[in-house]
Parts: sequence; C-alpha cells; structure tokens
Amino acid sequence: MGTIFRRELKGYFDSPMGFGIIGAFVVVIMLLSVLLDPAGSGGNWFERGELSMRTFFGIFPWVAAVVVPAVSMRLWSEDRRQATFELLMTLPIPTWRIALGKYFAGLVFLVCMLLATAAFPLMLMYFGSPDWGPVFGGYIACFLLGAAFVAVGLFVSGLTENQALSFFLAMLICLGIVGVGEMRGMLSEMARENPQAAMIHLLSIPLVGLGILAAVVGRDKLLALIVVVVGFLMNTGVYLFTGGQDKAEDSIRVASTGGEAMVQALAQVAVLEHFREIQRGVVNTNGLVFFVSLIVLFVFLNVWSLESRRYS
Amino acid sequence: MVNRKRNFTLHFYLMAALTTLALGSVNYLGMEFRTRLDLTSDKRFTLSEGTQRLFEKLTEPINVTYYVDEEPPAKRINLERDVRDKLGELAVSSGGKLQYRIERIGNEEASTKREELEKKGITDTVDVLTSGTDERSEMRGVQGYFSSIEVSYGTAKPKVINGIVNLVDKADEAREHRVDTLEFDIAFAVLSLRNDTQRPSFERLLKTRDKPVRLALYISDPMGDQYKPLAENLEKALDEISRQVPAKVNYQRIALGEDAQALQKYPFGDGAIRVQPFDVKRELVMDSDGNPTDVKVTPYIAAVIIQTDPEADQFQAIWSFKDQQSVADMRKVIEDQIWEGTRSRSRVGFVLPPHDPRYGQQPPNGPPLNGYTPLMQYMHDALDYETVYVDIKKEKRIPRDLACLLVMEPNILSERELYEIERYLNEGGNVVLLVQGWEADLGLMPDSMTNGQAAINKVDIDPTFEEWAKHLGVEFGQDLLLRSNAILQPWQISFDRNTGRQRASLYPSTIKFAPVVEPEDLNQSSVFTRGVAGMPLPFLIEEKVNADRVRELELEQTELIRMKDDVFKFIPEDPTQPKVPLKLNLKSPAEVQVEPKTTPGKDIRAQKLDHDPLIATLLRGQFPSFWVDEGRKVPGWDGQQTTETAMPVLNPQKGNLLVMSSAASLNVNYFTGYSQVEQQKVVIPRGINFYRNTVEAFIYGDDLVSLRARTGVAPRIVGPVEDSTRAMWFMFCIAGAPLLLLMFAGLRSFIRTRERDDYEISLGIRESK
Repeated sequence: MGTIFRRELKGYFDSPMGFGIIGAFVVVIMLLSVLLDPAGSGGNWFERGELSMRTFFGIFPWVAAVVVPAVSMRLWSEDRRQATFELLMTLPIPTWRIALGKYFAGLVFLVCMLLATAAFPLMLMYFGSPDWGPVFGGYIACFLLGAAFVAVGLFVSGLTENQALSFFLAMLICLGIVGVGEMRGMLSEMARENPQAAMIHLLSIPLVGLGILAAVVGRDKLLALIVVVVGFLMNTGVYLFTGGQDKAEDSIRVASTGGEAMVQALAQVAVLEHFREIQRGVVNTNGLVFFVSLIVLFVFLNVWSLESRRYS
Repeated sequence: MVNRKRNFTLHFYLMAALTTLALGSVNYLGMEFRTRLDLTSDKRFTLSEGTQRLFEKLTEPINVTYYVDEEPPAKRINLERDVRDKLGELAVSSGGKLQYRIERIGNEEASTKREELEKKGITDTVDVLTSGTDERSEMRGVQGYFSSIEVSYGTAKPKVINGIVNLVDKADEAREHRVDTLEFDIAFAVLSLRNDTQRPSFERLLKTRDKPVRLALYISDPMGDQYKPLAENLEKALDEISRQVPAKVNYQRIALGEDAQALQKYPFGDGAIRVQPFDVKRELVMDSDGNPTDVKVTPYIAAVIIQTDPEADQFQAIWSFKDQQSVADMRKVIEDQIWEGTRSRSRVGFVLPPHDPRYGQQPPNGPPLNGYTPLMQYMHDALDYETVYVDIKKEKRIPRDLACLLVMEPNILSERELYEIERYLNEGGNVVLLVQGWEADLGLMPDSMTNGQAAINKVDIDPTFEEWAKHLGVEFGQDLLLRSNAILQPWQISFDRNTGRQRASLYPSTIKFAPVVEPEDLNQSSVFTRGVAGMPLPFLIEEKVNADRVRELELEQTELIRMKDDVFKFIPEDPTQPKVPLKLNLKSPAEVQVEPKTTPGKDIRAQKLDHDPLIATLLRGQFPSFWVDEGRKVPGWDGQQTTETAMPVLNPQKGNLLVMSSAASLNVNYFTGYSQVEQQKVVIPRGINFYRNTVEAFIYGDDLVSLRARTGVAPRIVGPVEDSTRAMWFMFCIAGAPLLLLMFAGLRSFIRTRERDDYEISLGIRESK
C-alpha cells in the first residue's frame, strides 16, 4: 500500500498538473472569498470587516466539487491509459489495499491544497484576534468534505479509462451532493406538508443510484435503465402533483409524525448540513460518522467495481 | 459447474446490503449518542445551563417564527443568515423542542402584510443611517425593515420580540435584541409564556376569588334582524359563564331601547362608561307628504362590561363582537378579559423621598409627588406591575409579598426604617438601593450662574446608613464622577427686560455630570444590564466593595456596571460652595489633570481616575443583621433607641441587594433639558430597562438569572484598513501560494536537470575512458 501511495503522490508532483491544480484552486477560491462577493453578503471581505473565514468555507463545497474531481480523475484512469492497470490487478495484493494507497495519495494532495490557503488565516491574524475555533472547525469540515469527494472521484475513476469522462462524472456527482444539501429546505417543507411525496423523493434518489450501480457492476443495462426511468418518473410526478414549496425554511422537528421523521432523516443525509455545522466550529460525532460513512461507501464501491472486472 | 460470475454478483449484493446496514447502523448510533464539541472561544453554540434547564422542564414544543425583510438595509445583508444560524443551533440543542420557520417579506407584499403583522404586535426595526466614523458620525436618515421573532408556547398569547439586529458596528452593541442575545430573548419569552400557560381553568379562577365578578350585557332590544344570531350567541355565552359558579358571577342583562340617547340612561359607573355601538342604522323620517324631515339613528349595541373588583371604580368593555363568532369564541374572549383583569401582578414597592412642592399639592393618601413619580407611573402603566408606595413610618412594616423594593435616595432614611428594610432583606426580600451623592438645582437662576457655573451640592449620606452598608461590605466614594460623554443640558432662567417675565432657555453647553453607560461598562452576561447601554447616570459617585468582608459573610457578589476609561473626578474650586463650569472641557489641559497620581493645581477642575470605578453591584445570600451582630437595641420610630433588643429574623432566607450609586437616573427633574423625543427614546427606556430587568430577575429568581444574557459573535477588524494594506494582503492571498508552488516546481526542475546533467557528464566521462 505504501508503494502505491508513494507512486501516486509522486505522480501528482512529477508533472506541472499537480502544481497547476493547487494554484488554480487557490486563485479561484481566494478571488471569490476575499475580493468578490458571490453570496451578495454586503461587499468584499475587507468591507464586511468580519474577522472570520465564513465566505471561504461557504463557497468551498462548490469549488471543491469542481477541483477535487480534477485531482482524483487520474487515480485509476491513468493506469488504464498506461496499461499498468492489468499489472496492478494481477499483483498478489488485495484490491482494497491498492485502492486505499491511491485514496490516501489523493487525500495528501487535498491537504496540500488546503495548506496552500494558509494566507487567509495569516491575514486574519494580522487584522486582529480572530476566534480560531470556527477557523479550525472550518478546515476540518473542508478536509472531510474534500475526502468524501476524493472517494467519489476514486470510484468514478475506476469506471472509465477516459480521464475527461471521469472528471466530468465525478464533478456531476459532487455537485449533486452539494445541490441536494441546498434543496433540503424545500424537501423539509414538502415532508411536513406531504410526507408520502417526500418519502418517494427520498427513495427515488437511492433508486437511481442503485440503477447506475447495477449498470456498472452487474452490466445489466436494461435493468439499470428501468430503475433509472422509474426513479426519474417518480420524482417528476411527485413534484408536478405536489408543487415545490419554498416559502419557508424549517428546522429539525420532533419525530412525532411520518413527516417529522422524514425531515430528521433528510437532515441526516444532507451533506451540507453536516459540513456547515462543523464549519461553524461545532464538531459532533454525528457529522464525523456521516463523512466517514460516505468515504467508506465510495471506497467500497470502488473496490467492488474493480473486483467485478475480474469476473466480467 | 460453478457459475463464478453469478456467485460474485450475489456476493456483491450481499456485501452491499451488509455495508449499507452497517453504515446505516453506525450513523443511527452517531445520531442517538450524539456528542458535540463547541470550538468557539465563547461557546456561542452551546446553550447556557439556565436555558438547558428551562428546555428540559418544558412539556410542549416552542414554535418560533422569524419575520424578516427580503431586502434589508445593505449593512444588514447577513442578518437573516446570522439569525438562521442561531435558531438552527437552538433547534438542535433543544433536542427538537424548539421549531422554527423563517418568513421572508418581500417589498410587493409588505404593505398588505404589514397590517396582519401589526395585529400580532410586529413593528419595524429601525436603523439610523449615518455617515462618517463611529466617533464622529452624522445622521442621514432612518430606514425601517422587518426583523422580529414571534415565540409561541402552550396556550398563552405568543410573545413578539421586535428589533433584532446583528452586530455590524459599535452602535449595534447598545441595541437590546441582537443575534447574540437571541438565546436569552427566546428563553425569557418561553419562561414568561410558561407562567401564562399555567393559568387555572376559568371555573377554578372564579371559585378562588373572594369577590364576585360583575358582568353586564348592554344589548339593543329589539336587535336588527341581521344581528339576531350575534345577540343570541352572546347571551348564550354569558349564560354559560354565569352558570359555572353562580355565586361568583353577578350577571345583569340591560336592554337598550331604540333611542340612541337611551345610552346615557344606563351608565355603569356614574356615566363613566359610554358603550359603543358596533353598527348604526340611519333611516330618513318622512312626514305625511313623503318629505324627509329627520334622520332616525338606531345604534346596534352588544357590549359586555366587566368589573372584576366591585370596590374599584374600574371597568373593562368588550363591544366589538362579530357575526361569525361562535358561542365558544365569544365565551373565550370574555373569559380572557376576566382573566386579564383578575390575574395577579407582581407588586413592586417604592420608598420615595419627600414631596416636592413644584409638583403641586401632596395627595392625601397617595405617594409623595416628586421627580420619581413618572418612574412609578411608567412601571405601573407600561410594564404592568402593581406599584405600591411603601411609607415605612406609617405602615411600620414592609409588605412581605413585594417582588422587589426600590429605595430611592436611602441617604435620609431613619434608623428604624433601615432596620425594617434589613428585616425584609433577611427574610428573602429583594432590595434595590439607589444612593444619591450629589444634586443640583437645574432650574438655574441667573444669580446661581456666576461665571457660567452651575451650583451643585453634596448630599449627606446618613452615618448609620453608611455604617450599615459598610457592615455588608459596600462603601461609597465622595467624589462626583464626570465623563466626556455626559449629555445633561441645563435650562437657564432669565428675565425678559421688555416684558419683565421669566424666560427659560436651554443653556448651550453640556454639563459633564451625567455620564452615559457605554456597552463596555456593562457586565454583558448579566440579565440586569440588558439594554442598559446609553443610560445617563446624573450625579454619579463611586462604590467600593470590600471583597474580604463579602467573602467573610459568604455573600455572592456580581459587578453589574463598572465605568471603563475616560472617567474623571470633579475638583471643586470652593469645596464649601462647589460649582461645575458648564463649559468644562474634559480634554482641555488647562482645566483637567490627566495624570491621576499628580496633585492637581489650583485651576484644575477635573482629574482622571487611576482606576475604573464600580457603579452598580449585586449581593446575594443570607445577609447578617447589623443590629443583632453589633448587639444593638432596636431603634425607635421617634429616633430614640428602645430598650428592646434586636428582633430575631423569623424566616431567614437568601435575599438580593442591588446597590446603584446614582438615584437620579430616572428623576425627571434632571432631564427637563432634553427634547421630548430624546427623553422618550433614550433616557427613559434605558433607565426603565434597568429597573425592569432588575424586577424581572427578582421575580423569576434563579430561572432567569441563570440564563446567559448574551453570547459572543465573530470579532471584527478594528479601525480603517488602508488601500495599500488591503492590496498587499489581497495579492498575498491570491498569489502567495501559487508563487511559492512555482518556485518549488522550478527548484525541483532545476535539481532534476542538474541530476540529469551530472548523470550525463558521468556517463560521458565513463564513455571517454
């Protein structure tokens, strides 16, 4: 595993690509969080005058959803392109160890990306005495979310030898994960108004995922197509019949009814909800377990998708 | 033959199911056994113990609705985000007992929505728009927007918290309701709603009353056809109410004829109440030829008059019943009104200085009229307390059912009065002592204004009172404290030469002896000082607490107000006849000694203090008896000592003693120089806040005191940032890391080239050999 890890890490820094990704990431995120005002929050960082990194952490999920897939796209695809994939798979070591070696390399690269933003905390220190708790919490949240995105990228990278396709698919999934978090307000309202509809929505998401999985692992295209279409129709139908409600944003409620339980379940699966809580400076076991689960799930999927190739 | 592919697929699905199950279980366990770590320095996302205790006791959910403007002022752009964060945190920390929703109000619907919101008691939050810096700002106008919270709990009427702001600039720190005080605001609202919810059933309320409630229905008879159902429903509702406990309801139906003037024949209390009609029918009266001669007015009346105390000349009237109201609805409206009139109110006692002849004649049985009368009136009218004037000399004892006793200027209390106050305190009473060290007559006559100086007088503090306070560990300073932010302005009375009349004009200067409390002076975590920033404290003296003595007595001390920086003591030119120069400039080296340790010169009128003076403090615990401890005899009412030894305290309990060293904070005599607007918006509310907070804290006791009054917020950049500094840091943030990386990559490439060159050179050497 150590050899694979070193090889992958060297791969990042041997070419200008690794430096390029870090540089681009720093420029984009700093430009957005220091100079510009993407959230319309009342001027740039200096004008708002708040000694915090809230804007930085606020836009990190969106920037990471694009940049991290660029980091992870090469993890398996590069081996496929260079025809070293078969060599790796025939080595007398378990697939999971190879996958973990690659994953940890991606993780270290992510840490390098985050370290490259150290100028921001230095700036906070220069302008006063910031509260370091939320800054520390924010970096933990970024690391956990980034680690989950690396796992997603690893999984997608194992599915195709085309790096561009791998990047694009991983980016879509990561953006989807962030987007679902943003939609929680609407789904929560729907759960309260119409728990059945929300339930169908909630079930249809893994259903579509299962369809994609069936296509990847089982190579059963027809089954996959049916499942995806059913999931899609359920979603559209429910939305059309219930209408989107986005008037109010609600909190987590007591699980006294189906709707309330649903709202609680939604809060539990919304990645951004956990990210925001840790980012504010509140680290809880709930969020940590969730992120670790997400990582384990995608690494597991990656291992089994690779294993399935042995038998295809 | 073994189908390996099928086996693998089965194995995969099995593993997938097991993994999903395992991850689901782990997540569920993480949710069930949730532990959290608040990394913020002030634990701003952790509920205070008081709030946690309160939430644990609640049996019903708390519903919070935040009404916010879709387009708030530019500087409040993060307001909704900040409030949402806080509410979200409260929702999670309350374990699901608090639920919230955010209602955004757009510009288009604002006018239609406004009416609906106003009915709920929701009003605009107003920002004063200024230009310039914090220190030197100019007002440009005002801007109103919605930012209010409605808290519902149980069956009680929801409470509204208006004017919620986030902390953007220093001025916001003086606002009463802020994002960082939201935990307190909501918890306190719930605390009072919980008390309201615990009201007894109506039947029980009636049964427990000594005197019957008098109900009178004034009803038009005959009633117009279209209103007959209304009249029937109302009569049924009143019948039902009166039948519940007949002995405790005195119900009377008074039929009013068609004649509008008949109203005057049915006065409830000597014509004090004139019942309003809910509708009026106007018909033309025709003569025999069919010409209109008059207009006949028929009022339709269906009004209920309620007199909860037959001995008091006070009535409540409900006259706006509606057609669509059911019997139950009407009954509820009437019962609510009776409840409102009979529920017990907190009694606040006042010990007042003697009558001031400028306020007119002293009423025979009423409290003395003086500068504190408006405070007493305001606490009764606006804060809904039952205010009681306590004439200790006359009553010989302080009523033990008082929630709080406010003692204005205790300097001149007799020894026996002080003895009674001590007994009340020792039996678990709550006492606020407002000590006056100096005073001035601000209706300044020209002869008292020699050289533009206002005459001030030192108020003697009674030696027994001083000794008594010292016994409890509190001592008072002699010096009059000044501050450059003082805002008191005197009137100058002069004579008009032409008319010979007196003329009052505002003296164009500020006297520096009413320091204003700044946010940093206040103990921000204390409920006593919430919303007090901005309160002027005329004639302030310092108080000192002897920590050793307080410890010895096992009292708990909390500092409430300590003036930070920029505090001076006044140095009179003539100690026997001290006069404050009205134009005293506390920044002028000619008049002011800024070096605290140096002996002031002859012309120096003020000297900076070398420490931050304490202004208000709270002592809690079981107070010792000054008389018993010292083995003294009980002082007599005539000022002589009796032979009687000090009476032992029968029911010793922990009491609260709050000592403030400026009684005049709400003596309106000192604020006559203010415009009405400033008096209404600044001076009175701030002072009232202090007394209201204190009384409420004493009423609710530990439940309220243990709530955290505020949490911290993200710190801000201090002072202006130069453009060059801004550009430098921006460039560092954007380009610092990429440049470093570029250098690293270049270095790496250089080393590799060198290595390759070395390798090639060594190869070349080898080949040449």
